Amino acid sequence: MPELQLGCRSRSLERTIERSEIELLSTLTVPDGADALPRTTGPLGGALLAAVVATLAANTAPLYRELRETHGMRIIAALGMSATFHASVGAGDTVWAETWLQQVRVSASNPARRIATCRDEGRNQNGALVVELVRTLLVQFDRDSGR
Amino acid sequence: MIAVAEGLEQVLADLVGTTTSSPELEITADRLALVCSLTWATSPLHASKPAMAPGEFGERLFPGPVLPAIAAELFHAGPGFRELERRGIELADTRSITVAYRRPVLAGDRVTASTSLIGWTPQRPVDSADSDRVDFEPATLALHDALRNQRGELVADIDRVVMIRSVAAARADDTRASG
Repeated sequence: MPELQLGCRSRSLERTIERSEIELLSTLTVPDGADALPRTTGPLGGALLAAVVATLAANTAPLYRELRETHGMRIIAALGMSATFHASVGAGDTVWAETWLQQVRVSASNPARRIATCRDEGRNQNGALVVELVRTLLVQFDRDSGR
Repeated sequence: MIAVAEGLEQVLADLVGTTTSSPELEITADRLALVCSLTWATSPLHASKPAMAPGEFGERLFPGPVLPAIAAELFHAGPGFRELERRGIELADTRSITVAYRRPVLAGDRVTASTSLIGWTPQRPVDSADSDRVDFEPATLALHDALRNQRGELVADIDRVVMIRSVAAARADDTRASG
């Protein structure tokens, strides 16, 4: 089985954010009956930007499919995420992400499982960094479970 | 040394340590489906009821990366945000977020946020030449959200650092500048 390639960057698909998507996403996170309007009626920033870039990286970058198919890596649970914001994304902007596996270590509480640390850089159509993410995942490899 | 307006400093000092509870948000099947569609969360974990029904959780999982947005909007709809507004403080851009997932949030769950103001840090004021009202960001707030489900179980711990705009401070600053 090939060794895990730490630090190898994988690029996600690009996604152009429409104004209607920003507004609908904002509405969906507001509790029913709240008298306040959603705050994010302008640019996509903060928590929603992190959500869009994290799922873009996790679902469309080839890295995770390769990890699943070549190394038998299965994601058991998401443990955490941190995000640092550099710029907001407006309607009509195109975002994409570069993602890579930074570290994989054995779980202290369950040696059959591992903690994977993934890094994502979200960028806009000009290549400018808009958000940096660190995601930690509880994963299991087929080789660890004897499959 | 970076300083903020005296009145604002007192307001922030008064608010540090306070915790407020939000209204409830239900993760309905429709809401989950739309969130998954809009964030491209296409994994069966989030998007396939038949795939998840026989498993450990029996339901689809709400995408974890969206939980900080839920927490932020729950706070926005609750009394803590209104109290900030009453004191002339507006929340502006988010600088950073850290989230620790404690339990999955499932379709059908109802979540609430308890949000605590942990502290504040003064910032250098930005150039307010383009605005007479809000282009003055004197501090960041450190907020902690404890997101819980309908059983009171903690589902996520979230720390946010958010810029604030002080309408009162901006006005005072403008008054001093024009005087």
